[in-house]
Amino acid sequence: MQEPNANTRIDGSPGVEPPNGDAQSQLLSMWVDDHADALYRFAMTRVNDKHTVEDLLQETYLAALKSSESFRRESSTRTWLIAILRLKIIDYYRRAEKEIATETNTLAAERMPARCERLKAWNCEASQTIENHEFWDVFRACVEQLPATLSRAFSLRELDGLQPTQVCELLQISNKNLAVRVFRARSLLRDCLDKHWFSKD
Amino acid sequence: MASFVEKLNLILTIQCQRASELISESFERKLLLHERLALRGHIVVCWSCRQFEKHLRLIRLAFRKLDQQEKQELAATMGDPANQMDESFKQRLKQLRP
Repeated sequence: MQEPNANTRIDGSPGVEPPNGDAQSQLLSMWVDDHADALYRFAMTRVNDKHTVEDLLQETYLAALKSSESFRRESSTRTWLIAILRLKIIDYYRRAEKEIATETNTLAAERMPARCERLKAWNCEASQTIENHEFWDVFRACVEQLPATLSRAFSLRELDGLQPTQVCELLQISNKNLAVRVFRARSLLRDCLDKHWFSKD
Repeated sequence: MASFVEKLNLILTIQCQRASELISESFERKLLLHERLALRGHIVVCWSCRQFEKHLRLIRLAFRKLDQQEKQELAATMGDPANQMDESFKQRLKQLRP
């Protein structure tokens, strides 16, 4: 074994102690060398402002350093860093829209329509639909319309493919709460697609 | 843990609201036996919930595709000089301390 952070394991309590300053800086250095270029490009395709992207990257690495050890071991580092970066980008856009202040109330205040109405069938082959370019414009627009609390949880789950326990840890929410958010996100997305894509003539 | 009566109650009286929540949760975790029974029983008789499940499956599929697209996008921006990070910024990142 010649992992750069191997010296954290010498102290006799492997993985329990938080890494000391030196080990942490080695870890950070490794993360930057291996993943910073990809993270930078990922953010640039979404934000396209150099200084904002640099800020977002700093926030991402800071958050990563603060996150728990267990998380680091469970998923691939790249996936995990991109997941955090994605949260930072979502937050950045919400700040820009000044919605962040009301965000905490959104979940409680939102009234979901009861799922009792008769749903229309989506008359299409799923595989054909997702090959259609116009469908993607509608799909992306619908995803962007989701409230921040929902889209944070939902995109980590669906886009970054994190396990439910990992999403809960990253967002500091309970399993139950995650299930509720994901359900609401799916319902809203379904309604949006229904209205803007599958109901059109 | 739900009691036997509660489980039986779910199986016998489940309605669309709870059924659609369970459909969503079935994408997240393996449902418990009584939840599966309740949901499958409901779906047999409920046309709307059957649609709901199909729709969620399409959404799941769409996200998989979106994920692939993102990865391709990321790979495609590789050589673009406009997307290169300053070396000095990289060094600054390495100096970050919580």
